[in-house]
Amino acid sequence: MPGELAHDLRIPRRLDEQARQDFVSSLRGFVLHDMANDLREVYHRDVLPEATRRLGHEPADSGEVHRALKSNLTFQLYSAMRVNAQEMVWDSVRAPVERNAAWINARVEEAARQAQGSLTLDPELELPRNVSALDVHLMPGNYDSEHGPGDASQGALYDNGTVVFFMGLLGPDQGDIGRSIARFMRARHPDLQPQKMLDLGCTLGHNTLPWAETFPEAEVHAIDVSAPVLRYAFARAESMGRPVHFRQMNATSLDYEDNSFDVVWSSMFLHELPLKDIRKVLREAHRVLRPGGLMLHMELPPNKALPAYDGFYLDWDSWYNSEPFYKTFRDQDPAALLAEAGFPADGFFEHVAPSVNWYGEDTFDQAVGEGAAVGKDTGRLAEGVSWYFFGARK
Amino acid sequence: MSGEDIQLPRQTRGRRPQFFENPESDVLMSVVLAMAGELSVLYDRVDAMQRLLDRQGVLDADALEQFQPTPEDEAERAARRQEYMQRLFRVVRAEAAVFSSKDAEEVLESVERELSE
Ligand SMILES: C[S@@+](CC[C@H](N)C(=O)[O-])C[C@H]1O[C@@H](n2cnc3c(N)ncnc32)[C@H](O)[C@@H]1O
Repeated sequence: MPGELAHDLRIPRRLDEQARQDFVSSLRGFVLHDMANDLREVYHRDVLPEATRRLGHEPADSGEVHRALKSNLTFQLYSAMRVNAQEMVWDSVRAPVERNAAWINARVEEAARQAQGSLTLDPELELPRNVSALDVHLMPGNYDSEHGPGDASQGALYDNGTVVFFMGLLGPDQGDIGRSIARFMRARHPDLQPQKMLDLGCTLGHNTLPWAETFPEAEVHAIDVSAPVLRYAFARAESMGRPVHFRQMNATSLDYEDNSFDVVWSSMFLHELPLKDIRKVLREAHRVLRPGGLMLHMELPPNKALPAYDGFYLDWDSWYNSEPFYKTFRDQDPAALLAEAGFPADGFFEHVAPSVNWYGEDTFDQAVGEGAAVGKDTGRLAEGVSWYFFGARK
Repeated sequence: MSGEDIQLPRQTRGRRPQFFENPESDVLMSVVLAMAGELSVLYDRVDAMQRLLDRQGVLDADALEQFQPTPEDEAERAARRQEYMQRLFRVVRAEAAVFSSKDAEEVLESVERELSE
């Protein structure tokens, strides 16, 4: 069940609001677990044989699976309920956020007066269309809408909504992805001691702060193109006593020196960009990394690593969750993208890190020693959570 | 200070996908889910009330509003909501169950055959 947020920007919820959020989490659990299992079974039992007969071969990729399923009632019910559950996520947190927006914005102003980290906004920055023209994840107002001067409420909406969305799986600070991967890297590379690192598309810094926690000696920088989420991220980081330098910037043209970072990291970021921007971001990451520096990106595993049905299952968001670039990204070969961006081919790596929050630290440390492979549940919110990431050494 | 009268947008930009043959089915699904949600909210409130009455012997409206489930309460409530999902969406899952409509038809036909023999 959704926990509560573990920082000072936590807002009080009324009894019914809490129950509404709990219902949506339960509904998502039902859809993503019971109905998803039914859908898999119905596909293999009823849809696959018929589609194979019609096509003359088994549906070979995610698109063919999707087309074969479209007229199937189980798929329609699953999808309609999942879209509704997604809309209800935002609906269930809107009222408490509205009621507390003034208070949240005051926390941002307060943080700015006695900051250890920093917040640098660029009001002149032109927003890319993938942010300004969409409501990603069906979140009304997206990352960037401002409902008054200095407003951070879209950040609050995202923070409170993602707790409901992830059904509490990411832990109270929602930092499980960053924590699991930073811990994985520390275990596998004892020599890794970043002095300076950068997070791209950091949103609320959920997965920035765990790096600061895992590598306390590192100076941590984080950028995003949207001001409201950065304001919230800054106040949140300060309230948790983690100094981070947040800047409003487009990741396709970074305002940092060449060779200036030991680690460049992102999570759930690249897939929200059009392919031409992904290419630019990777080239920029290469430029700002020092020789020998590490670049890492957490994403869902690419389609090429998965059977057609599993690819389809993960591509669902691209078709129905306002993530139009997701599928194009997941159809790419990450190794080829990195090579194009100038990384040496032999520097490429990809791993699956088990979730610290799900398995606990002991099981995690054991599993990391043994290594894990991409499976059908990687990046899915099913039984057993693990996170895929890829990267390269410059 | 900013944010006194902040109103967040209600609508998502973009067209809502239609999954069923008739658009009214998609609308009905949304209404049913919203109703299911509100019923669950009501149930949680009654549940909280019962537990408080049980604990205190008196109903205190303030205490009800402040009610915080213990981890044990929460586990029971989550299990109850899961059961509720199963009941509410029984037909959704039955549609996908091993006895798909084809099997059901075969069973019906065989019964009819038996009866007419
Ligand atoms: C799904 S969120 C990332 C989530 C976050 N990294 C985490 O781990 O929780 C995507 C973010 O990318 C930002 N974004 C989109 N395009 C961008 C660009 N070209 N440059 C920088 N940030 C961008 C959006 O504002 C949004 O905050």
